[in-house]
Amino acid sequence: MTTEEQALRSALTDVVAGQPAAPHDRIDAVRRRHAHRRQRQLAALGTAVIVAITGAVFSVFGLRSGHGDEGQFAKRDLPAWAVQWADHRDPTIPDGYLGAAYASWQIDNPDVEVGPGAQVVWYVAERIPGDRLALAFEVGGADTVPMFVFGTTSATSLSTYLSIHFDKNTSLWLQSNNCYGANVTAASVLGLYSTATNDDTGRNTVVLLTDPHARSAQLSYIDPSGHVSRTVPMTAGFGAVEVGPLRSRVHVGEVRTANGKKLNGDLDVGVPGTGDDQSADPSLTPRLMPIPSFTDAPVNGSVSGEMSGQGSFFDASPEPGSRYRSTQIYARCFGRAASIEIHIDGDNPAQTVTVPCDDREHVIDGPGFLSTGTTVEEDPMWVGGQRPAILHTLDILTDDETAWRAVVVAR
Amino acid sequence: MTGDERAVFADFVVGRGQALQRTAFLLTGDWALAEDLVQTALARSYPRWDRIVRDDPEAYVRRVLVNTWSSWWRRRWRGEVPTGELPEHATRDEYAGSDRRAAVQAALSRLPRRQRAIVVLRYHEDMTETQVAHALGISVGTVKSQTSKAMTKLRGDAALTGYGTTVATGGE
Repeated sequence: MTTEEQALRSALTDVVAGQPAAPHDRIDAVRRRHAHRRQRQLAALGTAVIVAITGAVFSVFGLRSGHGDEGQFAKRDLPAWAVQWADHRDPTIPDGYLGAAYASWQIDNPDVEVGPGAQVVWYVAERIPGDRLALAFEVGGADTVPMFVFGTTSATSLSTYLSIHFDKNTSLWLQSNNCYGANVTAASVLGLYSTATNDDTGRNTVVLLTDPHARSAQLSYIDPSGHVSRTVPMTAGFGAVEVGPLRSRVHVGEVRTANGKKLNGDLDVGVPGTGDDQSADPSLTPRLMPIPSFTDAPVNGSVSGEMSGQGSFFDASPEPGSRYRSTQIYARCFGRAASIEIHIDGDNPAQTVTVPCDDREHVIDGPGFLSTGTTVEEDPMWVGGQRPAILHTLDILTDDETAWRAVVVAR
Repeated sequence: MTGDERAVFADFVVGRGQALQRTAFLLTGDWALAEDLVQTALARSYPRWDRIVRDDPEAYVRRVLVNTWSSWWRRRWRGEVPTGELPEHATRDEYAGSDRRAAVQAALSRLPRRQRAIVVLRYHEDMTETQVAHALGISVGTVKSQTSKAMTKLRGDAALTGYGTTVATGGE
C-alpha cells in the first residue's frame, strides 16, 4: 500500500472516530422492520397474483397460427412439457454461468420441488444493457411440474463469483427480478424490467420474451418528455430495449410477425403474461425516476424528516416525550395513483392528509403527532415476542407505481 | 429459523453492528442515516439468516448494505425523530482533527457513489480488489480504474489541500 493509500486509510479511520454508542433497541428495530416488510410483501403478493391473471387473459387473444416464417428460427427438439420457444443463448456466455445461475435460483426457491430426474431447458442467456444478463429457463420432466424462470442478474457479479468460487449456498440473483410459473404457454408474453446496478436515475431496460415468430413489439409509456410510442425489434421472440427514466409502466400494445400479423400483446411489462406463483419482488414494478429535492423546505431541527420513494412506506420511531404538535407537509408525487395519503399516528381522517399526484409541490397543513402514538404488536416471528412499544408512526399509502417525496415539519 | 439461529443473529448484531455502522457512515455521511442503513441491511438479511450464517454473514450483510445504499433514492429518510425541544445548535469542534475530518467527509461526499463505495470498502474495510469487486458486483478491472479515478479526485479536492501527507498531497 502506498503512502497515499495509507494516509487515506488513516483519514477514514479518523472520520469515524465520533461514532455514537449503539442504540439500545437496534435488534428490536430490525425485528419491527422485518415484520412490516413481511406484511407489505404479503399485501403486494395478493395484488400481483390478481394482475398476473389479468395479463394471462389478455395473452390468450391472438394465438399464433399458420405463420409464414417458420424457418427463420432454429427449431429444437424439446420435451413435450417445454414451451416451444427459440434458443437465445449467446455462445460467448460460458455454460458455467448458466449452471451457477440455475443453482442459485434453486437456493432462492427451496420450496419449488425439483425431482432428481428433472431436465432444464434454456431459452435465453443474452447480454443486455446495464452490465446485466437476461436468463430464461424451464425445468420439468420426471416428477417435476414444469416451472418457467425468467430474470436478470449482474453479468460481472456472475463472472466474479465464478472466477473466485461458486458456493452452493450463495445466490447470484441478488438485485434481480424473476418471474416464474407453471403455466407459461407458447402464446404468453413475458416482460421484465432490468435496472443497471448502482443506477439511481430510474433508468430501465425492458426485456421481452414470446413466440419465436415475433419480430416487433409496440411499446408505449411516459418518460420525462411525455408520452412515448415506439416499435422495437425482436429477434425470434426476444428483445431488450432501453427505455430510460420512466414515469409510468411500459405497455406492450401489439406483438407482430415479420409480415405484420398480430401475434399477441396488450399487457403491461412487469407482470408476466402468465404465472400463478408470481414473486412479490418490488423490482417487478418499473423503477420510476426520482423526484428532485425540494429547494424551499426548511432544513432545521423542526423538520422531522424528508423521504422519497416509490409505493407505500411506513416508518415508526420511538419518542420519549409526549406532545401534541401540528405539522406542515411538503409533498410531491406522480405516477399511476391519483393521490397519496399521509397518515401520522393513525389512519382516521383527523390524522390523514391527501396529496394529489400532479407532479407539483404542495405545501399543506398536516396532522399533529398524538400523545399516545401507536402500539406496535408483538412480533410473531420471535419466540416469546417482546412487549408492545409505543411509537409514533408515519404511513404513506399509494400504489407501487407512484413516486413521491415528502417533508414533515413539526410546528 | 431456530432459536439458536436467532441467538446467533442477535450476537452478530451486537458484535458487528458498530463496525457496519462505521462503514454505513462513510457511505452516507450521517450517523442517523447510517443507523437506518444498518437496520435496513440487517432486516433484509434476517429472513435468509439460516442460510447466510453457514457461510460468511458479515460479507453478506455488508454486500446488502452497500447495495441498499446504492439504490437508496427509493427510501431516503433524512430525518430525526420528532422531539419536543429543538436540538442544540452545532458548535465548532475545538479539536484540531475536526476540520480534517469534515474535509475528508466532504471530499468523500463529492465522489460518485460507486467510487465512494470502492474507497470505503478498499481502504476502510481493507478489502482486496477482488473482494470489492465481489461485493459491488463489478469487475476487478473496474475496481482498479475507479479507485484510480477516486484517488485522482481526492488528490485534487480543494478541501483536502494543506493536510500534510494526507491524501491531498499524493504519495509515492
